[in-house]
Amino acid sequence: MTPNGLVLETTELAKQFGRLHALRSISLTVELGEFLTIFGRNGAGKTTFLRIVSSLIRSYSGKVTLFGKDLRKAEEDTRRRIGFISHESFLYKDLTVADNLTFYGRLYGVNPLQESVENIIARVGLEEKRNVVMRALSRGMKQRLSLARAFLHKPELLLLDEPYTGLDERACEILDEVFEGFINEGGTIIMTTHNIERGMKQANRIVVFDKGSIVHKAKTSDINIDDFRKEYREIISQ
Amino acid sequence: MTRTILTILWKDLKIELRTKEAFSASFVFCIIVLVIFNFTLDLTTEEALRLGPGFLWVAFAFAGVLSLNRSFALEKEEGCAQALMLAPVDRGAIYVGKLLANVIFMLVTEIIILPLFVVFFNLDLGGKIPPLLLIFFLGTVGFASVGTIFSAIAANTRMREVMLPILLLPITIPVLIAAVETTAYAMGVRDEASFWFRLLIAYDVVFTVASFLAFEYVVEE
Repeated sequence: MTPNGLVLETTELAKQFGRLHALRSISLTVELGEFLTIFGRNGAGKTTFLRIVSSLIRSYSGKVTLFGKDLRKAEEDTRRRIGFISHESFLYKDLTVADNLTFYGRLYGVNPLQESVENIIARVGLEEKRNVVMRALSRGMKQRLSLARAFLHKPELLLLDEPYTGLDERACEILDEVFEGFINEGGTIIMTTHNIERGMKQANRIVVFDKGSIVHKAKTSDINIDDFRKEYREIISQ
Repeated sequence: MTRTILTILWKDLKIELRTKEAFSASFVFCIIVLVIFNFTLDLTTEEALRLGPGFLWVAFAFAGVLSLNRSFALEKEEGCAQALMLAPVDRGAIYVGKLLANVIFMLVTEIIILPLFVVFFNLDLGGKIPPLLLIFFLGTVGFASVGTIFSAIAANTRMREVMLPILLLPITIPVLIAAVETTAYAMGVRDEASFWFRLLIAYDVVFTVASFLAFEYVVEE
């Protein structure tokens, strides 16, 4: 975190894929403990933004400051402090529950490893499945294992890329509970989604991306959800 | 870095021990090649010694492609490749871990195939086994060093099964020729192979180092 309480600060962030401008001069700040939701249609630049912040994409113009450090100079250190959840599980189908978590724990240098793995398995209620391969788990269990993977190294910033995609209502509620708990423990979340209800539910602030630019930003406390829904439809229909 | 290499290796070995996908495909392919050559050519012992190195490396190379295709394909499932790139580790270490796993998978097949080759062609390789194993190791490292990075490239394409051999086989021709020549020397068919032995080592060093350095740019989106 920076002395001014910012977890993330991007300054004139831009990214081009060939002739396509995926991001154009994005300047954005995210404070410690904040839940920021990024809305936008497909191709608006939401995922590109998350991929740059998580250093999956490393060639861009502008500046990204994460936890007070220039991202280009402190990639490995900042990656250790980030948890990433998308609609893909990031799990190996032929490894057991315990092996999947042990693998990621080793990569992130989790210490003590075995104790942390057992604790998180218990926390997500998969003790009886610890030696079962991931492909044999039910959809709900896979989701819990995926969450355990993301939280195993105790991230300070969660990046959520369309986390609700393909989930039923109960699974979405479980995700909401987990995110709420993470924010209450002092974590920070940046989420991209198309789902206005879910995106507004817990966020402190929203931004709307369109054609790589920020076209709308507001605090959720200042927004009437019905008005925002109309406004959002107008933006994405242009 | 060592921790990351061993972690990647541990993960790939665990998956392979459970599924045996890379081994079973490459082993069956090698057996078929040997059986076809054995029954169609009906070679004398001298002819088998002269042609054997070529048979072996044809089988090893194509079996290696089958094994390498699997290497990064399994990372694409469920977005695991992305998760690896998100981890706070040197991406070069991921390459080395994958390379070691691929070398082990290929060597296991080669070591099992060698005695079968001896039996099929009725050969006596007696004291020639240790130098043969050294050459198998060096040839496999060279082949897998390029194969591992091309497997990562091919995994991002729509036709990865077709793309990998198209990319890999032309660039590995030098190491395959060197491996065939040095194998022939180890079997007592050639009198001299020092040039090919030096080429084998040079190829291993150059392509392993180049692939290690290039890997992080290859996997970047």
